[in-house]
Amino acid sequence: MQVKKALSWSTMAILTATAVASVRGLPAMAVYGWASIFLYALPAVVFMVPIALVAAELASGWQGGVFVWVKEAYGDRIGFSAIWQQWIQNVVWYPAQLAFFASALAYVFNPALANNGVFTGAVILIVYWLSTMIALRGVSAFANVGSKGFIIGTIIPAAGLVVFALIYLFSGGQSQIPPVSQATFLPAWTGIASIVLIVSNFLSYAGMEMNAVHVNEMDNPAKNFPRAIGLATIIILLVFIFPTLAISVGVPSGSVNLTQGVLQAFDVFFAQLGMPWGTTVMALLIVVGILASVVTWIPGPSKGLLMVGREGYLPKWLQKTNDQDMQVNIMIVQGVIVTVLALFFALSPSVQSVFWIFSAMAVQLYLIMYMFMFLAAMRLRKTKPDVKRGFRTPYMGFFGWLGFLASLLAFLIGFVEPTGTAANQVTYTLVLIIGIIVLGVGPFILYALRKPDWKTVDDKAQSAEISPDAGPAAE
Amino acid sequence: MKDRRKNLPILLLGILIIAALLFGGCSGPTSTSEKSSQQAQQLAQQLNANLAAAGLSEVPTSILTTLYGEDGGATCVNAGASQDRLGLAQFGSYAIGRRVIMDPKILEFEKAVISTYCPDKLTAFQDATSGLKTAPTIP
Repeated sequence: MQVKKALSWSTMAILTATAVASVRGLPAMAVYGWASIFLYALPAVVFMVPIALVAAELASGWQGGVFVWVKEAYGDRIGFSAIWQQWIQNVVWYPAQLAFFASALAYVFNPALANNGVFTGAVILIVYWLSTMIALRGVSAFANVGSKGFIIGTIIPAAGLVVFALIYLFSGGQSQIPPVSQATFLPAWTGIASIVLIVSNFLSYAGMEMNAVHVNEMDNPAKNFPRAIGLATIIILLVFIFPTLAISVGVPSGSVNLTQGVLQAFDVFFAQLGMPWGTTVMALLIVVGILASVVTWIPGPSKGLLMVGREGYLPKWLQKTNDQDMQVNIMIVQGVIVTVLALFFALSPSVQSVFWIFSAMAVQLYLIMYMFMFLAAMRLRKTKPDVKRGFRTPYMGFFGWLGFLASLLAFLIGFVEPTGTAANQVTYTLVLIIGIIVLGVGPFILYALRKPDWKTVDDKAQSAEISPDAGPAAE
Repeated sequence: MKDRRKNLPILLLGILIIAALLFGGCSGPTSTSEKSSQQAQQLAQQLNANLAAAGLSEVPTSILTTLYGEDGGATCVNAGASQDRLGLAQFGSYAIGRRVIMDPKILEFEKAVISTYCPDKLTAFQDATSGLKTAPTIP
């Protein structure tokens, strides 16, 4: 009798959307009003669509995510480097993401708490380790929390923004966004600043490929992963575009608070309806949504590292798994690193500018991973044409190069000094280059130090190709 | 027993939400001060005058009283503090870790709010934002 696997295609779709979409970042785009549509749509065409297509093809041909895909094309060392880049970006992402979580939570109780380092640090650590405990309970547990948390904490607030904006307008509220006939659909053009703005938003869609590492938990992944990524693409665009416009309806562009803009919009809508308590409810739901995204990310890149470890590139003690086959020691090491970073981030405001540069380095590494991924997809079409894929990217050459060039452009633009650094352009660029080398060198050192007895799985078992005909589709 | 263990994370989450709801009370988080008072109305009008003086568009008074009340809401609580910097770092980019070049209107608007509602924090705000690289990108 065939055992139904942990992830249905719809759950995989929601987990993929959870990894990418949240209402947290919408205020940062709402300040652009109608032009936010362009800022979401262009990156979707040149970056998200190529990632979705390429990840769907690769995951429908090979189990194991980015590490296996790049390894199959360019060998172990580059494959290890690719998953390392995804993992590093992820580790650095947690403190900032959870600081936003603490900020949202603070506004429910007392906004002054948002500036309290002890409160922020405590929230980061409690939430991170609670999420780790959930992830350690296995795929079913984190998929359960991640998917339900996304519906409660992202879909409901996102839909709420749109619905209450409409009610606000129909009940006589004054829109802060001009009518379509007077709309400006493009951001102001001021040279490099506009290019930085447009290209930086390619990264809004980063993470689409991350959950492919769990593809072996799906029935018939060759058919179901592409379906999942298609649905996720639609969900992500819906969560981004319409709720952003809804915020613009309620809150004037200049007064959008970049960490609390969603709650400001709800406050305006609920004040009109005479139910100010509604904002508190929405704030709590958003907190749940951020928690869901953390729970979803924790077991992803670390699972990729486990696969690298089993290939013989990480010491055996790091390969330890629990009874749910979760990479317990890797996740604990990851947690310790996040704890140290979070304490610095929360308790020492003076190091925050250093942290942002550190974060920028990690994002640059992530873009290198995307370049590897696109090149690998195109190379595997030539070197392994006979491996059956459940889905084949139409015009692979076009989409592969489009995604690669978009990643390259985002990488190059990442060297332009943004607002808020203490350095000048030359120093910023040099610091970034040195940091990328230092952060990226890890896998090459570990590769050089590897020992034969670290290998605990044979190549065939690790990178098994997927049969597109295997198993029934799970709904 | 196994089902109970599987549902434990959801249960914990539910308890956290209910606890937070109880502790959170029923107030909106944007401004805890009186939003419909005469003082709130006057301050909103003063803010509109400051916005006009800075070359920015005026905003309906009802929205300003909701957002800023009598005390300036979150803007005044955070003026020049770490949350302010966290917010500024997020401007114009959805992706954490990738900052862009800020539009000066954002700083001008915040300055007008602080001047109106909490002028004692204006120096801290100016210290935190002076010399920031800006370029107009908002249409």
